[in-house]
Formats: sequence, C-alpha cells, structure tokens
Amino acid sequence: MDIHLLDLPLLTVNDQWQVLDCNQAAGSLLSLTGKTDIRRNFFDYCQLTDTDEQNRTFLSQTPGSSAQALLACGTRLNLTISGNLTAETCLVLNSVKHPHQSYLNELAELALQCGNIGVWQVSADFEQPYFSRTFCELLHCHTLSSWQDFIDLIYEDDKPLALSFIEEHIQSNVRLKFEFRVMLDSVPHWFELSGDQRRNNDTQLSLFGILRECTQEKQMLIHLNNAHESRRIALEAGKVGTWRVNRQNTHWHWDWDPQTSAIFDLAAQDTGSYEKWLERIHPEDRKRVSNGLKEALETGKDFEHVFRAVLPNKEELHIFAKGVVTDDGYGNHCRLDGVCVDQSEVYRAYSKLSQLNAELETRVKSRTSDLKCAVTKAEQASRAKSDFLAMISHELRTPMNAIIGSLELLSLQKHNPEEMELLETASVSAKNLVDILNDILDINKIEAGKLELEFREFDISKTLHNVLLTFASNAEKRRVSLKVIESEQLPTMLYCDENRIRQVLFNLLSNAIKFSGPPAKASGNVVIEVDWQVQSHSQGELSILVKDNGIGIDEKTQKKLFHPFTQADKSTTRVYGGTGLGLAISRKIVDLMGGRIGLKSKLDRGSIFRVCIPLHRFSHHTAPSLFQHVYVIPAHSAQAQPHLLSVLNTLTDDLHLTELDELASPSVSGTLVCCCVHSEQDLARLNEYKEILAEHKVLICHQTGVAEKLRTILPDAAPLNIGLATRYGITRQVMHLLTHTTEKSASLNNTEENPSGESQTKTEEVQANISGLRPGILLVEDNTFNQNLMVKQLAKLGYTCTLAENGEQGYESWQRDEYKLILTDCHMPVVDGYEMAKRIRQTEKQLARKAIPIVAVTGAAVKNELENCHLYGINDCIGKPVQLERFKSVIEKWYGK
Amino acid sequence: MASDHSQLARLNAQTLVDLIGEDMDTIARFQRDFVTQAESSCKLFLAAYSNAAYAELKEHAHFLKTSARAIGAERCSEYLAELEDAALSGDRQDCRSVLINIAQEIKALNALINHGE
Repeated sequence: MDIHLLDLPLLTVNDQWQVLDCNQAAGSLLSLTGKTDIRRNFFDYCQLTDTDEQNRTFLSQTPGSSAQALLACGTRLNLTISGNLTAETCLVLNSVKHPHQSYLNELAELALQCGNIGVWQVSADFEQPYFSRTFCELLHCHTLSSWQDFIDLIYEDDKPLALSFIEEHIQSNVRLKFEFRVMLDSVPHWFELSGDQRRNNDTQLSLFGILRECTQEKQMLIHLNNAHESRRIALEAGKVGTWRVNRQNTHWHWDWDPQTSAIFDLAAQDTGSYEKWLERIHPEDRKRVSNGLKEALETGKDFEHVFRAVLPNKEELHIFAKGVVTDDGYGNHCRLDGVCVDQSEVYRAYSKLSQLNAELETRVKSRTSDLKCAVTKAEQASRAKSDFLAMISHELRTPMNAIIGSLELLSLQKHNPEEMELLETASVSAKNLVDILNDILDINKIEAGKLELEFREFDISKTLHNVLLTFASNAEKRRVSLKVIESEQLPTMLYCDENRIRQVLFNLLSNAIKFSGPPAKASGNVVIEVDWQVQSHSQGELSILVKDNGIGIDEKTQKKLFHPFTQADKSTTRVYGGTGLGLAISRKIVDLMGGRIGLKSKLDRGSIFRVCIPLHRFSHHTAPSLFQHVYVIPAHSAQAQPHLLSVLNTLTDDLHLTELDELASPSVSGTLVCCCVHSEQDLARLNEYKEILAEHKVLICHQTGVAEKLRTILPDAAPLNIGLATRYGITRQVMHLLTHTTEKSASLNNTEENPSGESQTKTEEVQANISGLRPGILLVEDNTFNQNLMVKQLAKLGYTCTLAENGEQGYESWQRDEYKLILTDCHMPVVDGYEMAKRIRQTEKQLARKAIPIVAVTGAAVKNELENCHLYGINDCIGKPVQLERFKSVIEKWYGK
Repeated sequence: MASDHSQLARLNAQTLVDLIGEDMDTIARFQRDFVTQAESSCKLFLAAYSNAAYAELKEHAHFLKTSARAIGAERCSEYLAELEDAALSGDRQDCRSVLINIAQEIKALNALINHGE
C-alpha cells in the first residue's frame, strides 16, 4: 500500500529503526524537511517515554504494539506498529493533542467492527483501492484486488445507477450514498455504500467511505412501502378518507388525509380546519354530526353516522363516517381516529335499485293482474266452449234421434234396392253423427272433470260377450276375423264402471276392425285377449289386449294418438272417418280408473293396444252343476278348445270326451252333448247322427259360415261361434237349451199347435198331473207375448191353462170343455172379450149351465173397464200387467166358484 | 205432442221380476220376444199410419202397450199410450211425431236387450 495516499500519519522503518519513507501527515508531524531526513534513525526525532520494559515489545517491532514518545517540540506521540499496511514496519503516528484521542480511535475501530461496517478507499482514478477485511467479508470475498472487482459484484440492474452515483460524486462532490444489490449464494442482498472525497497533500483526490448491509431494512422498507401503497390504493379506490382528532392541552386538534380533502373538495390549506369541514355538511345533518362527534369525544363511545355533504358545485354526497376513541392510559379520551367513506355511488345505485324494484313490483303486479285476467278469460272461454259444445251436441242429438227414428220407420216400408241403400247410408251416417256427438259430450265432460265413474258389480264375461256380438256381424261384413281369448282365471264378478269399460272396448275394437279390413287390407284378423293378474288377495289387474294386423301407426303419430282430435294423418280421416276422440276418451277413462293404456305398432304390420285396470273388488262364483253328464265330441282331427272344456266342466258333474258313434240314447235326463264342428266332414257326421242327437240337448261349437247348415241339420241345437265363445256366451247357450226344452212341454198346451179336441185335454191333464199343476183355466188372449207371460205366471202359481187367441176360439173352447175359470183380454180381433162373455152368459142361461167365473185382464184402466165388464157378465177385472200377488188373489177368489 | 219421457226407465228389469219372480233366463227370453214383437208392430203401425187407418193404429198401439208394460219398457209404453191417444184423435202430425219416438225407442231397446249396449 502506498502510505502517501492516506491521511493517517504513517512512516516506515527498517529493523534498525532507520526511516525509510513517510507520508505528508507524518512528515508534517515530525517536522521532516526533505529527503535528507530519510535514512535517519527514527529515535533522532523523538524519545520513548515509557520504561524499557514497557517498550521492549514495541522496540522489537511487534505488530500492534505501541509506545508513547515525546517530540523535541514537546508534542506527545502515540506510536503504533501496524503489520498490515506495508511490507516494512509501518508506524502509525498519532499526536496526543487530546488526552482521549487514542481512546476515540480505538472506539471508532470497535464501532466499525461491532456495526459490521466495511471501510473502503480508492483514488479518483480508481487505482490502488483499499477494502477492509469486513468489507470483503460482507461481500463474501476473500480479497478484492481492484476497484473493478468490486464493481463486478454489483447486481447487473443496479450497476449503471451505482456508477452514475460515483461519477456524479466525483464531479459534483455530492455526498456519496447509494444502495445496490449483490447476489450472494443466489440470494440478492442489499448494501449501502456511502462515502466522501478528500485531497491528500499532494492534491491527489481520493474517495473513501463505508459499506454496510441493509437487506433487512430494505426488505422492511419494501414491505412497508407495499403496505402503504396498498392502503393508499384501497383508500383511494374505496373513496375512503382518514381523519383524526388529538387533544392538545385543552384544545382538540383536527387533521385528515388528502383523500378526505378530495372527498369534501377542501383545499390543502384547509386541512385540519374543523369549521371548514363542517361547512361542507348538509345543513340538515350538520347539528346531528357535530353533536355526534362531541358525544364521542366526551363519552368515548364510537362515532358512526351517515350524513349528506354539499360540495361547492352543489353536488350532494352521501358519507358514512365512523371513528373510534382511544384514551391516554389514564382514562382520558385523547384522540379520535376514523374514516369517512363516500357512498354516493352506492346510494345512487341503491336509489336506482329501489326505484327499479318499485317499478318491477308495479310491473309484476300489473302483469299478474293481466295474467289473472287472461286466465279468467281463458277459463271463461274454455267453459263457454265446453258449454257451447255440450249444448250444441245435446241440441243436435235431439233432431238427430228424430232423423234416425224416421229413417228406421222408412226402412220398414218396401223399397227398391237403390232406395234401401240410400236409406242405409243415411241411417249409418246419422248414427255415426250421434256417436260423434256423444264422444264430444264425453270428452267435454272428462275435460271439465265432470265425468264420474259409476261403480257396480258386473260380469266382465257378459260385457265382453255383448261387445263381441255387436261387432261380430260388422267384422264379418268387413272380412275381418274376430277372435276372443278369455282367461280362465277371470273373476266372475268385477266391481267397476261397466259402461265405461265397455266404451273402451268399443273404441279399441271398432278401430281394430276399421283399420284391418277393406279398404286398408283385403282381410284382417283381430284378437281380443282378456286376462287377469292376481296381485294380492284383495287386488288384481284386468288386462285387455286388442291385436290387429291392420295398417299400423308410425312412431310419430303414436306419441300423440291419445290426444283429442288426433288421427294418424288427414288421409286417415278422409278414408276412414272418425273424430279422433275415441282413444283420447279411452285414455281419460282408464286414467280415471287408475289404470294405463298403451300401444305397440308397426306401420303396415298392425297394432297392439293394451289396457290395464287395477281392481280392488272382485269375486269368483262357482256355477251350479246343471248336468249330470256332458259329452264333448271334438272336431275331426282337432282338439276341443281348453277354455270350452273348462267352462263346461263347471256346469257338470262328469265331463266325457267321446265320439258320435259311441253316443247312446239318453238313459237319464240331465245330459248335454257338445259337438265341435270345424269342417264339412264334421257337418256330414252330424247329419249322419242327427236322429240320435235330436234326443239330446245339443250344443254345437262351430266357426263362422256354417250356421245355416247347422240349423237345417239340427234345428233345436244351440249354436256357439267358438271364436267368440266367452264363459258367459257358453253358459248362456247351455241355459237356453235347458229353458227351451222346458218350454217345449208347456207349448204342447197351445191350442194352435195342438188343436184337436179331447186328446189334447187328456194330454193336458196327464201333463198337468205329471207336473202337479191344476188345470181348468181358459186363457183368452190374442197377444202371444201376454199369453206366454200369463202362462208362466199361472205355472208359478200352480195352474196350467188352455189358450185361445180371441173371443171366438174362447167361446168354442168353453163349449167343448169343462173349465173352472176364464181369463180374458177385452180388446181382441174377431170377437172381443165383452162379446165372448155375453155369448157365454146367454148360452149358460139357455142350457141352464152353471155360470163360469170370467175375469177380464185388460190393458186399459181398470176403473173405467169394471162397469163395462159387469154389463157383459164379466165378474172381475184386473189390469195388465198383473202383479203375481194380485193374480193369485183373483184366481183364488174365482177358481172353481 | 212428442212428450219427453226421459225420466222414465227405458227398461225396468224389476217389473218382470215382480211378475214372474227371479227367473232371469225367462226374463231375458221375454225381453227378446218383446223386441221381436215390437219390430213387427212397428211395421203394422206404419202401414196403418200410411193408410190413415187410425182406429187400426190405435189397436196396434194398445196391443203392444200391454207387452211393453209387462217387460218394464216404461218409456216405450208411454209413447204407445200417446200413440193410442193421437190415433184416437186422428191427429196425423202427432201420430207421426210419436211414431218416430217409438221407432227410436224400440231400436234402443233392441240394442240394450240383444246387444247389451
């Protein structure tokens, strides 16, 4: 190191204490005049003042050792040997002008070490730099050999500024102070370099100073700045101003930030002027706010007010202010700190929102009112439409019925084929129109919720039978084969609305037939399956399937098919007619019953409609056994239908499968023969065995097309179309056979069929005796219906009778046979009842016969007839129809008298 | 004329039960017989009406009326009574009007009795 660059008085000596060199400060202190003084012994200029013992260390030139010396001029010097400054022994001379100087130097050095402060010095041309050990340690360097080494350590971004600071300092002698970063272990550390400049004696300019790390301070400062900036931005953005009041002695001193001034549009010089601030407050709010502040300062309660401020430009602000009081630790309220927030925008938005809400509420009310009005109008319109439709339908039905009646009457007259066709067309059209009107009435009723189901017990098999009968001829005409499959599990009685179930069946079957036969297809098949699913002991489900192989329905139409007035397409309506109400009505009915209706269909392949109806009341009745034996003769090479066998089995004690040639004459009464006919071959065999069959009660199960031939072969047999055979249908035909045979014996009494005299009476008596009925009543009645009725009534009362069709026949019969009572109608052709009675009474008189009791059975009012009857010798008069009890009492009164 | 008898039963099944007891098969047979008879009577009504033979018309009406009452065809029997009155008074217009009602009623009875409609 060049000791001449330093201000510190320094000189170098050899081990002989010869002065080798000295800088300007040392030369000045020792009063050395020039080079001549060099090489002189150092002690020529001064004398050590300490003891030898004390000076020994010093004299051995031990680095760091020191000694006190006295100059010739009397100045005391403190000598210190420095081992670091030069290669030679370097003496630091320190004039002991002040007694504490040495102590201060020592203290400064300690302070630099404690403060971890590095020292540096460099010439103005950045040569011969000096960096203290601490300096190097701070920068994590072992040594720094040049000024540039130090500059290179400065963070790249900070380097230009650092250089400019140093340059500026050299040029303008502005005190040097700047901060810069150095990357230490990849972490930026902040350092502060400060310094100054001085000129040495030789006027050489040098720079010196210190270096200290300020990373922590810098980071704190950065954080503080960030926090401050954030706060500033937040306050500005939120239009929040801060204010405070401090008590100074007895006065309150006000202050606020620029934001508050900005909010209230106060000049900077008015900051802290409470009066100026108060002027800005709306006159109506001023007192309240002022009192609020006073109260807060006096009581220590928080201040919180919303008030209006009026700016010089008359703009009105809405301010929210809040302040918190703090005390000085002795319970004295010493300051109030608060914020004020400009909420004008919020207030304006709120006002607008309130206004908008009010408008919306008004609009909603208005719309709701409009909507209610529209709904009411729509309901009224719908009601009016329904009422109108109902009224029109009803009003149309009355004349339509008259038209149908008239056409019916007309059709009874003789017409040529063309006229008959026209009449039939008119009749069918009129009936269709009535059906449509009925549908419209129904759908109206359903949509108005007025349709109520009428639950009662009914036989579903009977309903099915009747529906099939209705459609049978129509299906045949349309070349559609109709077939029923009835489940054997079907209960005898169901509890539901029979009429509505029938209506659903009608709709489904009529559609199936309509879309299966011509013109859609040359011929078709329609099958109706009725099934029963038991779900629990008290619940079951009736399932009705109607399958056809007709035109089918496309998927799009299927979705809307159950909506009113929907048909497959317009062409469907054109070709097949109809209103499209049937399925809609059916669905509504099934819905009302809690059931469901659905369909599967493929275009040109056909459709399957399924209806399922849950039922909670049903019963299975066992039919009474009607026959001891039932013989079933299956068709040739075919098996008897299981359902038929199942039903017949319920009607007999013994069911036999047999052949015609095994059939014997009935040895016992109470047998039934059931013949199945499928082919011409079967018919031929029937013909072959017709005489044996004639002795039996015969049920013939046939297929369509052979009914006429069967009637010719076995006129008394009961025919049954097996394709349409339901439990009810089979039982009904069997019952018919039973009743028909019973009536056969009664009809033997008929005078027309058995007109011969005595033998008839004998037969009658025999039969009466056999049957246990009492004979002797002559019934004169022209109306076959009434004849049959009264015969039945008399039989029920234990009597049998002889029939006469008019007064003439009656009179003859009376003359011919013995009777105990005559029952006669009054109004009859040929000879009426009055005339007959008159003749009988006359003859009785002439022949002196006992007067027979004659009772008139009249269709006219008895009251009017009785007097007339007495005039003709009629004993009594009863009105038609005669109640059984009345009949009994009258007969008991007159029989045999 | 053409009174409204809609309050009367088209077919009161109890009537025949009262007359002959609960013999349902016989009752059904009587009902079917009535329809057959009524359809024949209608032809006779029409012939008499066409010939303006009102006395004959009255007799035919009376004839059927007793049967109608017997099976409980209440509405029909009332129409027939009306026809009797109309025929008795020789009122062609009334006869025509009642005849239409009767034809329609018999058709409905046929549907009800024979087809379960």
